Amino acid sequence: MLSDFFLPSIGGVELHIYALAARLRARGHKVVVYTHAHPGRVGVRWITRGIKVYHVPRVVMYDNCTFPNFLGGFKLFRKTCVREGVTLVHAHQGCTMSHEGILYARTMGMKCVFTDHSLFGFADVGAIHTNKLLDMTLADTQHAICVSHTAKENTVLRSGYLLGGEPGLAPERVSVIPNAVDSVRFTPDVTKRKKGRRTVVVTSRLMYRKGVHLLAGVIPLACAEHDDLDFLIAGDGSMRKHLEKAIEDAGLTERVTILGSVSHDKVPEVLRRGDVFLNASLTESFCIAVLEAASCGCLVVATAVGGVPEVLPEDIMFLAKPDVQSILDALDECLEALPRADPWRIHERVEALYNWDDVAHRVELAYDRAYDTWDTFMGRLYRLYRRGVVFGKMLWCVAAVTYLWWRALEFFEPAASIEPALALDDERFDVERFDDERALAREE
Amino acid sequence: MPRDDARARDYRVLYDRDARALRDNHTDPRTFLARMRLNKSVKTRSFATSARAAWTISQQCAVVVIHSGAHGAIADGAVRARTLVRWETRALGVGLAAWALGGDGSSAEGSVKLGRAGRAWRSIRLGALTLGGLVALTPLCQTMTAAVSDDTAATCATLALALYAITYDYAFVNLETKQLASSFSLGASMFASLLMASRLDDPASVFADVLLALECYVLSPYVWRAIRAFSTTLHLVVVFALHIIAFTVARARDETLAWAYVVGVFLLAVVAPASLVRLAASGKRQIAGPWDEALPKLYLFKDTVRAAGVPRYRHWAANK
Repeated sequence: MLSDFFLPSIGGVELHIYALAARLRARGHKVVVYTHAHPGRVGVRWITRGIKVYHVPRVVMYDNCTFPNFLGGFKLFRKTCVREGVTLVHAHQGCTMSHEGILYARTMGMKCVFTDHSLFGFADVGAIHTNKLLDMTLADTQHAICVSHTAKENTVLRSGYLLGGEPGLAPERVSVIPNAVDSVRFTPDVTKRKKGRRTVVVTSRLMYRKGVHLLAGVIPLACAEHDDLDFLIAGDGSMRKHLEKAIEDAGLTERVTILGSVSHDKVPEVLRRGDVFLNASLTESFCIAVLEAASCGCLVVATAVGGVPEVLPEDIMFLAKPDVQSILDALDECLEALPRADPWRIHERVEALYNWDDVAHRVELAYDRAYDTWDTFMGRLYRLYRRGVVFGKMLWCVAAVTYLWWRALEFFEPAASIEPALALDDERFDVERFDDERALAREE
Repeated sequence: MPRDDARARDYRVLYDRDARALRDNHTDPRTFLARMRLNKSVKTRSFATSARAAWTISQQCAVVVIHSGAHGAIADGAVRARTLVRWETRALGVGLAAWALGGDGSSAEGSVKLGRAGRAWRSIRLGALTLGGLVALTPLCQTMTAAVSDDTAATCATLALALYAITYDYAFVNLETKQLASSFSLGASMFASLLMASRLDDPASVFADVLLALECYVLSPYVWRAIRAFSTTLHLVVVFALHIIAFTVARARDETLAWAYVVGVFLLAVVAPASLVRLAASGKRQIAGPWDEALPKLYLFKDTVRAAGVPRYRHWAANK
């Protein structure tokens, strides 16, 4: 598993990688996570469930994305793959390490799978450059995974599907495998809800993309319409001041509680206090937060953006257009349906629909599809060459130089001379046995 | 929002048990990309509109050529400075009189409406300040770049005038905005004008050159806008007349330069708009769909501390 985004940072992608790695490990696969170092976390670590993590020293540029170093990271990546006996590389999210890792892995002839977790536009400068890089990666990847059907359409289009001559990523090479929720941790508890009041919970980063402007518009009107309605907001961000000001101006400080930043392990406790979960995001590829909320027994009101409408059935999730009045109407509808809602029934339905074991099984099938493909080095070069009039030639050069560098590494440090890493047979690493063996070896 | 009927839905969902029996990479031809919209908000461009806008751009090129040609004529002695000053002063007088009689064509927000006497006094004051100020500054301008070589001054002036033409506020003359917002282009033009004027020998020539620059770059935008507001046909005729004058002035300097100017104007005012229209029709592919980020209404930004890193012009562009 390869990404800039992994623990100890907390986020949707990070938790997805961890949960998937844990389930694949439980299914008997050897899983190694390759990510960048964090302060106080450099080198090789074993984390829960026997997942081995390589925290590679790299310069972090912005928001966990590392600075590109093109061929500089190839030596270490190759050594890691040879030591660990890696046969398939699964990259997550279009970040630096993913793009570079796919390039290295394909140079070494390994199969590659790419999971895209986000939606991107087409028109702004950032999106144009990001899509160009993604075009390179997707041209080189055997199979792609998207977390929703909307994300699949977006990814296929971003790969240049409409450009004609070279159609980019074929839709049959993209599997839709959604995220899942840890239903053991996210369970309902109606005793935590305030009696006689109805609580709307919001757990999100308080930033523009999460629709804080819409929230600030909705809260005063909703509180004015429903006397028994309270809001509980967990999260922090650049728009927090704006939200606090709107609440203060409306005189709702008694009815609206902003908890600030809440660690992920405390999120279930917050969700259990709510009857309704409100998500006002302006764009979401999947929105795992609505799953977590539904798993805790909440009904959900969410903006119908991106892949959100695909996630939950209409009797659990009430969709709204991304404007204040529409959200208010959906909230009204949801509050009317609230007395008939059974939190445990909602939890069971979500558990049946979205669980990590099912996701891991489906990811295995995606890996099988990747293994079923066949490619040659010249075929790969030709495919990269055709990615654009100028860009294709650049890619061709990069691929050729990377190949030569790989052959040089093979010459100076053959794969056979690299010591394989310690194999972990059981999920629990036996520390005592390992210490005894080391002590015995020292005595000898 | 009305509940969706599963049969009428044009997208697949993840919780559909029947669909789960299919392979994950199965693509439903009915729903795949059904919600995509191509060129949804792309405006069809017409050659006439684009050419008219380009004609306004070429107007500034004509102004630059006229001023540069006049400067060259003063420097060579082909035109007497005093003759030029007489014409410029008359033109200034006519412009100020028109302003006093007709009122300002672009009213600034918050400005007090003046009567005819007020406007007349304002015109007289502006004229006096302009001329008096220039007279006072002429000796300074004359010696400003004494230490700079001719070729450096010429190169810098050329680049500055090119920057002026590139960064000029054409939207103001094309009646798209109400206030002239071109401080950078104005600065570039004044820099070039002072550089050029300071290469002249006598104070009268310097005065004539700077006054012409002032009229061309500072005061003329309001004249062009007033003409454009009055009549588009008159505007086109005036621009054509400017091109004739520019061609004549350029031809007096160099025949090749004059015809190069004509070719340049043709490329700018005819070929460029035609290419733009053709490219927009054939090459534009705007992709829109459910993956696009929603844009909140502008009123929601009222009292916002900051828009969390998202430029507000994006919302202005989407909400207009």
